[in-house]
Amino acid sequence: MTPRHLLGATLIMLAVLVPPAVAEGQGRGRGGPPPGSEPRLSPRQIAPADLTGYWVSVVTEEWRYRMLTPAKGDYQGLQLSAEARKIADSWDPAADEAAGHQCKSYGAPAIMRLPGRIHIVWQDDTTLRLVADAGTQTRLFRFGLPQPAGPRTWQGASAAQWETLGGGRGAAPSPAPGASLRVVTLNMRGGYLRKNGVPYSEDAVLTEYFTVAPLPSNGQALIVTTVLQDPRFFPQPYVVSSVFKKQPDASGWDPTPCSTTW
Amino acid sequence: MTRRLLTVMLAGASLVAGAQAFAHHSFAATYFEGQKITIEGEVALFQYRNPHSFLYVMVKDEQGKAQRWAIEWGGSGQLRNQNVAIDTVKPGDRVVVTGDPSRTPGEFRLRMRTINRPSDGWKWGDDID
Amino acid sequence: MERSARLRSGLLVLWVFLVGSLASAQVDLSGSWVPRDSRTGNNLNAVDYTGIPINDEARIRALSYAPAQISMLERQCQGWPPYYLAIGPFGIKIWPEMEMVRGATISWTIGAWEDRLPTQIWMDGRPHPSRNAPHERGGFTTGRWEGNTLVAYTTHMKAGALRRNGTPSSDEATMITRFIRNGDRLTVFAVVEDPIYLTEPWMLTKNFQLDASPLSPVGPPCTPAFEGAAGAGRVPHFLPEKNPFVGELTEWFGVPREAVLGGSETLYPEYRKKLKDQYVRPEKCLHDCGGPAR
Repeated sequence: MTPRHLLGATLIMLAVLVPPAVAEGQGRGRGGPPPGSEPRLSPRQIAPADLTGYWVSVVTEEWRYRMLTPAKGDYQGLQLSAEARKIADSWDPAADEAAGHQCKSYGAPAIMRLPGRIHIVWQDDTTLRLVADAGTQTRLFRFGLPQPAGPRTWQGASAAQWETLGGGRGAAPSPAPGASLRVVTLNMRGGYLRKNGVPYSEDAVLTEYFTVAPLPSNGQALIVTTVLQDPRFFPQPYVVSSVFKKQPDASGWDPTPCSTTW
Repeated sequence: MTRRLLTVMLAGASLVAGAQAFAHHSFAATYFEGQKITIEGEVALFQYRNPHSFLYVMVKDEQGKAQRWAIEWGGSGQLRNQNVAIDTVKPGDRVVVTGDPSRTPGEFRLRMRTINRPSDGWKWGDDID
Repeated sequence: MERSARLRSGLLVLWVFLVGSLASAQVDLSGSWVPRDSRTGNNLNAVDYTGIPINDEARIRALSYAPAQISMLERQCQGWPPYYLAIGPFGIKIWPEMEMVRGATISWTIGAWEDRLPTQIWMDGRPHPSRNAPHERGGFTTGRWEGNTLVAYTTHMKAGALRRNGTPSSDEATMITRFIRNGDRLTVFAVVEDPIYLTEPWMLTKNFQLDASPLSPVGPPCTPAFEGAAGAGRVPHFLPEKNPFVGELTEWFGVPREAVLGGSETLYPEYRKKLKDQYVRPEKCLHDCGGPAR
């Protein structure tokens, strides 16, 4: 390679690798817009992954706990506090039904684990809406502003952000391609993590990571990692991942009401 | 299959969970976890190894004939963390062992649940703090 | 001439630096990752193929498996295929192997367990061996970065088991594993394809958390020994229709037999419509209900 060729290739390489802050600095130095006045891109515009569409759950793990309602007192594998165990051992679906708590096992910490389909859309540039056909539940993931206080609900209030892992020198970190969506949910009503009455409390903090990944043969998977911190009922955080497969359309969409037993 | 038993307990025992205990093979697939058998006899050999240690105990049946039982225990690293060393149990020790029986007919084999040595009161097991 | 040589040298040095930057990882996966996953399922029942898209051949093979097989002297130390990473109970130690001139990462290694070989994920662009190359217990794995996710592709695995109850995997199975780091949490997402035994890709997950206590990078050595298995010299098995454990999940938990035996149909929500008429929830749990309160 001659020095001329080497120089050309080096310049190309530099153009690829130059950090955004350096380019930004050069722009400002040469008459670009003043700092802080550039139009901010919305979460929708900077989205590193496309979560929208119809997704169907693929139940390959904990099958009998998700596809069926287990027997009362079956919480194999879960580390529960004494109080949680007592509540689980006294599960009474008829009482839940009578009290109007049919959706107690469809709350935010549990809904992603239920077999069914979900539909995700951008409600606006700063809000993703997730609708689950199981129990006809709706969750809103709001970017940016802190959530206003209000009455507790099964789905709580969710704050979303794209995960970032640092940027170039001086640049604001930006989400890398394929980065996860991190959602933190508070203000939930206490509910059931499993349909047979394994409880979580209203003090629980739910953190979820939504990650899209390609599958062989041009498919797409959505991996939802759930981290539930609830020291009152779980001495250690409850952590699971649920997998969904993308569908081209709404085939199989089957809104079903909440049930205390099925 | 004949053996000298202290008790045979058939119960819906709850499982004592622990990630380390589920290594290498599934205990539920290999043993009847809802059943318990207790044997008493003399230690023939303590094989302190990985993936799972084995304790061999000679138990006399009702006719006085000695039968060798193989009792599956934790891996050597796991046992070391629980203060069970290679010389904690020695050939010749008289022990009482409770465990889950093997699913394979004809096997004199248990999964260790508790063990105690009456001569000095030493104990190890699921029910012991 | 001298100036030209100096320019060449300088540009070459710059090149080496730039190439080194490109080759470095987007995310550091190194460290000791302890399992932090609340799924059940580590302690599998003898016949439980729920959630696996197996075909009829796999089912027949699985039902012939007797758990005592793994106590054969020849099989005690054979270990499990690489997808055991997402099935097994242990934590993982991950470290990079780096080339010390440019600092490029040549490979990422996932340390071994007592019954799983280490997995070396080659990052240097080397090709996989030819189709006819020998298969190793740990397979052969290459990797690349997709954003901040390490994507590993494993081939050339030996035949083994998808679960520790004899659900088989063939030597034509391949696996794509994604290592997704979010803060101090690591989600491993594995997709196993097996044209011999699976009707569609099988997806697995496992979660870990970074821990300051170092894990061992190597598994303890395995020592074959007599494990009490009856009938030395024979391979324990069950003949067709003779597996005595096939009804246990139904008896203990009410799981319909068809579902116990697995298959693609059973993975999707529509299958619940079939189950609703067949499933009778036991009054209360009587078997394998869970540990004591913590």
